[in-house]
Amino acid sequence: MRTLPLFLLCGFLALFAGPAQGSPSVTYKVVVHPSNPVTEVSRSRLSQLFFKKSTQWDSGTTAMPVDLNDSSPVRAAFCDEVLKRSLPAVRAFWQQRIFSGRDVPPPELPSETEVLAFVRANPGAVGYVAVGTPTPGLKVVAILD
Amino acid sequence: MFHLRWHSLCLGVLLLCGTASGMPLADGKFFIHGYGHLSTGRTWENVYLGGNDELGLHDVGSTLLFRALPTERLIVNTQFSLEKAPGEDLELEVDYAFAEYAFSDKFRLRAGRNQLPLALYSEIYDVGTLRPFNALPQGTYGPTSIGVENYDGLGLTGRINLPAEWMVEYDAYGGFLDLKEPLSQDCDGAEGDLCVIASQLVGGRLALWAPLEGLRFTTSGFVSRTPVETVPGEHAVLGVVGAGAEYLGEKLWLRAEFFNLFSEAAKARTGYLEAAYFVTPHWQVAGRVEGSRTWAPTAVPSELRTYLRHREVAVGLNYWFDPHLVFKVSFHNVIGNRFAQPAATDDLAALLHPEPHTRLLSLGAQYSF
Repeated sequence: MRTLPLFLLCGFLALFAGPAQGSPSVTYKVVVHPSNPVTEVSRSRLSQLFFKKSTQWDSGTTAMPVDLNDSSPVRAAFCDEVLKRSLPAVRAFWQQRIFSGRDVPPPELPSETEVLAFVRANPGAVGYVAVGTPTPGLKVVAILD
Repeated sequence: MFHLRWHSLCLGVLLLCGTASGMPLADGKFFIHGYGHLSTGRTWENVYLGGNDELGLHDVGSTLLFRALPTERLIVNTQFSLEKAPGEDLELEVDYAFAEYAFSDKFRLRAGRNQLPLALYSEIYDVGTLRPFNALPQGTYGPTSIGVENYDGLGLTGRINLPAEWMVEYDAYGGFLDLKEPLSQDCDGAEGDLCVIASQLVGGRLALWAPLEGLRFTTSGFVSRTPVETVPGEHAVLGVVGAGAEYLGEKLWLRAEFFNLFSEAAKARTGYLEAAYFVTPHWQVAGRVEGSRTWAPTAVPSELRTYLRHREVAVGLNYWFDPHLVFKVSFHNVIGNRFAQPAATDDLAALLHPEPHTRLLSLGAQYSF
């Protein structure tokens, strides 16, 4: 009979744990390495790269998508508008891929500075930052719907 | 005291790891993920899913997954589980351990102990944060020869992008697996109340991913045979084939599968329809209907046919703290004794005339990171 009170305690704590709600609308821009010949990319192609349904650019270079971390409103907006899924749904998708031994999600970096450094260091990298963030030495690509 | 320590440990892990999402290490070359579960509840009339008429711990377990990428094309996956079933000791198992070499997206070779790519859930058999109920549908994933978790051997897998954002993911494999059958007198490898039969197999799966994100269709199956001849010149052969569909949307989850098992010893058909809906970002309601029927090669007395049948209706209510932590409560109404069976007893009359109706109240918590 100790089991039931413990479960109820678990449930009670979870209900008051203050989960994150929604995300404000934030605009973003997509950046790639300056050596990448791409100047524009379709939304669906970008979605394929971030879900790793496609792992190469048209040039044959291995694509290396990089994400901002979960708490970033820029990431939430990118998920909603480019991946067409909410952030929780994207995380659920990756859980399925991880635990079925299929794949792992793109690396999550804690700041835009680190995302920009990652893209500068990897010719196949693609990332996103807030639209107002300076991106010296990187190429901003247009997103076609 | 053992249960209390386990609950305390699991509760701590649940609350600490609830929002985590794995640990990439070594500059993205090494990953650690994991998941765990504990469940309790009680049944009325029969024993079902490890539960009986006393509220107690049904099962508890935790799993760690390690994924290493020593080179760009080579991946090494290993998963260990610590599981404790009712009345049994804690056991450490290697769920899978395989190396995968990627020649390209279309062609990846796997060798070692692999997850069996069959149906929708077999590769994520114990991951409670990827399903709406504490337990999977028993006709497909329960103690049958369909619900096998892994095989030892070689596999090919890959994906091919099709026009208009469709995608095909395929698996083909061959090797050895352990089939689970009801315990019989001539069983050489008993494991709990199941007979484990080492078998050879070949099989495959095709998954078609639709442009609508979250929608896929699968068809899969395998053929196995015992390496030892059952009679001179003959091996016991078993085949499994089925199809399924899954839609995992923002609010709505839908899954349906149908499987057919055929062998000399028995034939079985099973299917289920499962739906879950997020009424708020955290509260989810779920429902499932399931049917399973087995045919024995010889005539079975009418009063014992209930041991070959299973029909179930289940409803559930879940609270998702986030996609990595969930608490679930569900009620199951079962007709048939294929999986819900009388408690062990010396009373032959009770076994010959079982109560076919079972009800189960199940509570559980699951996490992953």
